[in-house]
Amino acid sequence: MRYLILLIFLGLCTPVVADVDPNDHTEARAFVKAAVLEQVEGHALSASTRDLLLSADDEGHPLSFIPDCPICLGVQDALRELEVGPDDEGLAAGLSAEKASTRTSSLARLVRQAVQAKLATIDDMQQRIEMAEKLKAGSEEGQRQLARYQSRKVEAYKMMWSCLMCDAAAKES
Amino acid sequence: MPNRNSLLLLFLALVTQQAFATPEFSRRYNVKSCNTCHTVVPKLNERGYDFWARGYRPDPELNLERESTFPLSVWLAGRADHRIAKTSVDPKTFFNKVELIAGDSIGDSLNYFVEWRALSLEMNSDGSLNDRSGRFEDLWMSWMIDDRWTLTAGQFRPLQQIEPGRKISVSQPAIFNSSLPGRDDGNKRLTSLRSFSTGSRSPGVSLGYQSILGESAADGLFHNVTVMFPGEISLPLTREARIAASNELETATKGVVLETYYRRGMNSIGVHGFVGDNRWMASLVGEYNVDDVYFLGGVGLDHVDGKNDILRSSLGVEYLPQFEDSSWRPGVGFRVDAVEGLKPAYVPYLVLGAPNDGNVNSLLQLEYNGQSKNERLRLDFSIFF
Repeated sequence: MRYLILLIFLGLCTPVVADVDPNDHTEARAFVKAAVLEQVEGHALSASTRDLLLSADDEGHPLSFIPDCPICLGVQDALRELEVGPDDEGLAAGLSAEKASTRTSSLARLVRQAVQAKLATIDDMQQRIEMAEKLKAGSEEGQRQLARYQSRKVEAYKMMWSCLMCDAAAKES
Repeated sequence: MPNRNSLLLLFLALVTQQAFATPEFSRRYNVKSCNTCHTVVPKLNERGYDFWARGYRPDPELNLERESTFPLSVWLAGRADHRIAKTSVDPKTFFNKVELIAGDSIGDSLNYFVEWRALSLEMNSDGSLNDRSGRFEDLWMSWMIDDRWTLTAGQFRPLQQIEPGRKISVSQPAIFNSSLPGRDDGNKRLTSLRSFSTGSRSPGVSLGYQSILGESAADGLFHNVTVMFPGEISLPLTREARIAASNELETATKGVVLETYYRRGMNSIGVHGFVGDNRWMASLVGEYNVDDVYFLGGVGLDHVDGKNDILRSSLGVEYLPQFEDSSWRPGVGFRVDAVEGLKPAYVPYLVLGAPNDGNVNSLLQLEYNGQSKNERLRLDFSIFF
């Protein structure tokens, strides 16, 4: 019996081999950045709203994003590149809420729409599938990063269930 | 028999990796890891407490989408039990648990939890097995009347501050093992069901009120009043279970449980008590967390008219490290249980949960009970999917 228990235990712990190289997330990051920028083309954010979205805790952990998550990094790249001006009402109204969780979920909605729209512009089905796989690998990396920061007991992430940006990016892919 | 059971366990472990192999809640909200809500399954972390306190709903601000899923989880367990002090009792290895679990929220204010043990075996002190297969453990529905009031009815454990069933040790701390005997009219089964223990389930109705709200839904000051009834809801599956786990319910109440506790994060302190005919008990319980170390302490007094009062206490510590690059969750714990009139029990235990990937999980628990003349070693292996 004890050998069978050991065998079962080892069987359960067999690692799952990823189909996509998890170290290559550059394209996913660039894709998310481009998708978000296209989605908000013509919109503007005030410097204060942008700072709020990119705000971090005392130790430098971003409040609305997971550090080192390729999907989150893509969104942050886009925000930094957004035109600064008077707040666009439609965009700012959804994003500039007081609570970090509300801001994050608003951004996640934006990312989902942006990724969906950008993927739809890829005519070649094979290329679309490959890009979707890269986004999925990026989102899995993001979830790993979240688990890593949660195991460090970083306050900003202690109540997060998952990386909402990752969920949003992988949802439509 | 062990061989046949072992093969069944092996088969289930292998097929469930390809099948619907995910506990219900993680499937429903597409959660990637058991550790989202648990330190080591089944012990909850802060996110787990928050989800539980919202009636099995995630924080609405997270906008997590519900996925349709098969509304059932399964918990299989085998046990090796060695009563070291009793040389007349041979060590035994047996399947002790096949459990079907379902729980969910309904609409904005209802939630339920059902835990049915299709196989329920425990080793008696003489080495025989007590078969109670087919009994329900939890079977309740809760109505969150507003953000402060909650009404629960069904069969459940009365304590809210610390649910003894979410322990990672094999045995329950003595602080939850008070046993106030019930009225004896010659029926052993009914006498047993009339007894009261904070760690045992009974049919009942509970009204909860939260007087101070906190940052998380599980944080704050809570008050609960629970009326318990002697009984057990059961669908006994074997001849033995039709006697040892017969479906019973008495309308005369067992007594009332009162509880008040304050929780903040993983720390809590509370008092609870039970008042029934010619008997009462009261306990003070607290838990405290620093990094990966979790403390539990409690002291309680049991009173039965005409008998000496019994003082109970438990003091325990658990170290449950979380590793950055591994989802394996090992743990080590040590507890001292003291019950007046008995030798103290020193209970070291080891646990290992893996792979915690949200699809399937297993849990290995090894516990030694170092109570003089009652030494016992137990190894439990569980699979959840």
